[in-house]
Amino acid sequence: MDLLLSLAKNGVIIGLLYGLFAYGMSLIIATSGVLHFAHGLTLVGSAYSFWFFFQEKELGVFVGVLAALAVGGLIGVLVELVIYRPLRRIHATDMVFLVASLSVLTLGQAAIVFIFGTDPKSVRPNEFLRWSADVGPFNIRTWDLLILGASALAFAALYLLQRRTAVGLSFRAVGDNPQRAETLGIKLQHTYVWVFLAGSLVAVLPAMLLAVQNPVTPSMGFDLLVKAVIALVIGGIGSMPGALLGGILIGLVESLATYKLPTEWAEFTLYALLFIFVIVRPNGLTKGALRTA
Amino acid sequence: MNLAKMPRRLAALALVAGLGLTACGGGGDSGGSGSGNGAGTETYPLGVAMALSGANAALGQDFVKFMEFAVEDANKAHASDGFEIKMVSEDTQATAEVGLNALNKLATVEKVPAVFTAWSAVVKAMAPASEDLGVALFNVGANSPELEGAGANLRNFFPLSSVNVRALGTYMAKEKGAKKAAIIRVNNASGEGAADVYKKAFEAAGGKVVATETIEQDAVDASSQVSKVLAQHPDTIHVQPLLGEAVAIFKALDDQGYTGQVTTYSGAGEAVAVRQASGASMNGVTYAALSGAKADDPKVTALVDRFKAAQGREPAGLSYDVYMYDSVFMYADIIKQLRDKKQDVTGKNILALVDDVKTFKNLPLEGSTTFTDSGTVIKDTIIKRIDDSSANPAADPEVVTLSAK
Repeated sequence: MDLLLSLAKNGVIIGLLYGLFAYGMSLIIATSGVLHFAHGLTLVGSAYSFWFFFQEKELGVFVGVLAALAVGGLIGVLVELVIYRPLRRIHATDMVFLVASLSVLTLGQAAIVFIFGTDPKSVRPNEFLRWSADVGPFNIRTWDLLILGASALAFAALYLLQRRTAVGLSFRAVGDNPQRAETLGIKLQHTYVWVFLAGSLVAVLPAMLLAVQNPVTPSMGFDLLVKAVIALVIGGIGSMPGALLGGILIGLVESLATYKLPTEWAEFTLYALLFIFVIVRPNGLTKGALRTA
Repeated sequence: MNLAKMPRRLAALALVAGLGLTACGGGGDSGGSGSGNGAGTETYPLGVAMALSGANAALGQDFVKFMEFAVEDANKAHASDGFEIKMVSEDTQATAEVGLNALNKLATVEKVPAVFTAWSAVVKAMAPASEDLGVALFNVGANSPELEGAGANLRNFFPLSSVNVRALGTYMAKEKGAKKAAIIRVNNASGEGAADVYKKAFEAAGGKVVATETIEQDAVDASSQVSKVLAQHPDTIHVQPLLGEAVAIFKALDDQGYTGQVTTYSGAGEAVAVRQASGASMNGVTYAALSGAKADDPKVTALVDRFKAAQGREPAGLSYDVYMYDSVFMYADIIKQLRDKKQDVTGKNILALVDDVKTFKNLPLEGSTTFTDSGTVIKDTIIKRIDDSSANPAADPEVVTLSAK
């Protein structure tokens, strides 16, 4: 029983990490309709920035966090301004957006290899990050608490943003129907810039959380990107609560499947679940509403 | 394609398939006599197929750098013999399919008589193809025991884990008195082969392996694997990772308060990136290092200094790099001996000479190496302990040296 509970806790924590990454991506997809795979570059870029300023230059955690937020936000906004906006002007198809997004991800990773090389970088864990304690059947680590805190912060912030602010309401309006939103006076181009900024800033959280626990490499986050996409499909593409639910669900399935099955079957069970959703419930848990870019 | 108009299930499949795409990255005897350069010096190509991009590029690029140093030094050493080596490298991304492309290009376009490579999955895939292409294939950095006898054209210059992991498994059961062991291994051919060797050795020495769990390469969390093996209360846990996932395993073992002996192999124990990222969670880990060239040998430290001067950092996997360096000198020795015998430097002749000579002396770092009848090499195993993961692996204290005999 202890093992089952322990696996469940691991599943929820890693699922929240998937969900956190998927959450920012979902916000962008829901508002702009772009399948923003370059979100993976936002994650890698901000992780390297955090490592560079916090660990390499030893400028302190505050500067490291600020640099990661700045770089992460900048990548998202630049991709919107330089890549997606011109594509929107020529009424490019969704396939063109998809290919452009994947190209940005690949080129960006190559640029990081050019700048930093391929050897893994690491944020050396201090005593705070190494802390852990047994609470009942659970072993709780600093990392677990950071993921819980970051998730709660991101979900609450985006919830409030979308319901209490003009910018957030414009996200929802544009996501529902961009033409109608435009007739109501909402500036589409401004909204897209804001949504790429907000979604990218959310991705900075899992980037820093990964950086303090794992080596920072140019290919880091690709696994997370795949899991995030699966979370979006299961939760409902373009649905905000769906991203969270999908992330937690795949984290739990991946972890709990190993209770009786060998661990190498975890990924199989995940793809089996994805397959079932694609066949039986292609709209996902929350019936996400994907629109064209 | 308009995803909004596409059926939902098709859109979902296209989404995942599209993402998956980004993750992908003739018979006869190859080679012949070298080409002249107009100054009376014959040039012989050396094919090198390593991971130059992807998750394993940090190791692969270092391997190539050390081989470049070796080519430079071997050419100086053999200048009076009238030949020089020219290295031609191709990327394998450490995957079987890209590795096969690299082998094909080296053999058919570059016309190399021998290809030096690493990573178990790559070597395993190349072994049968090298027979068709007529090239000699040398494994200079993969350790899966499955590579012993994996192909008629394959020779394993790098010691397989059947040597040092077997010694470690026997040592833990016999000398340290461990009764129950668990294994956490990377989910690939190398991990599977090494885990099997450890299990057989540990159980042959009177112990019992009570759990074996796998982890995907570069996984970010190993909590579930560690929870599962700890539920079996093992006296010792053997960790057989590649690179990135090693950190997740050591951290999870530390987080979950495991106090038994954790063991691993040199690829993880001596990897600077793994040690730095794992921090104190790696302190106390015991690992099986390969004997031969030692990290504190002046010749090795001079080479490391040369690498640091060129690259501005420590090498990622020194225990491998020394084999990369020495392997080029073995190739130079083979060329010299074939030329002395007035034979062409072809894949077939290289293999025949290796099988005939077996022992290659005057390797700058290791001294000498001897191939067995099954085309592998046997080395002593040094058991070392990490007292301070932030220190250079050369500073790790030796616990014991286990003879291969």
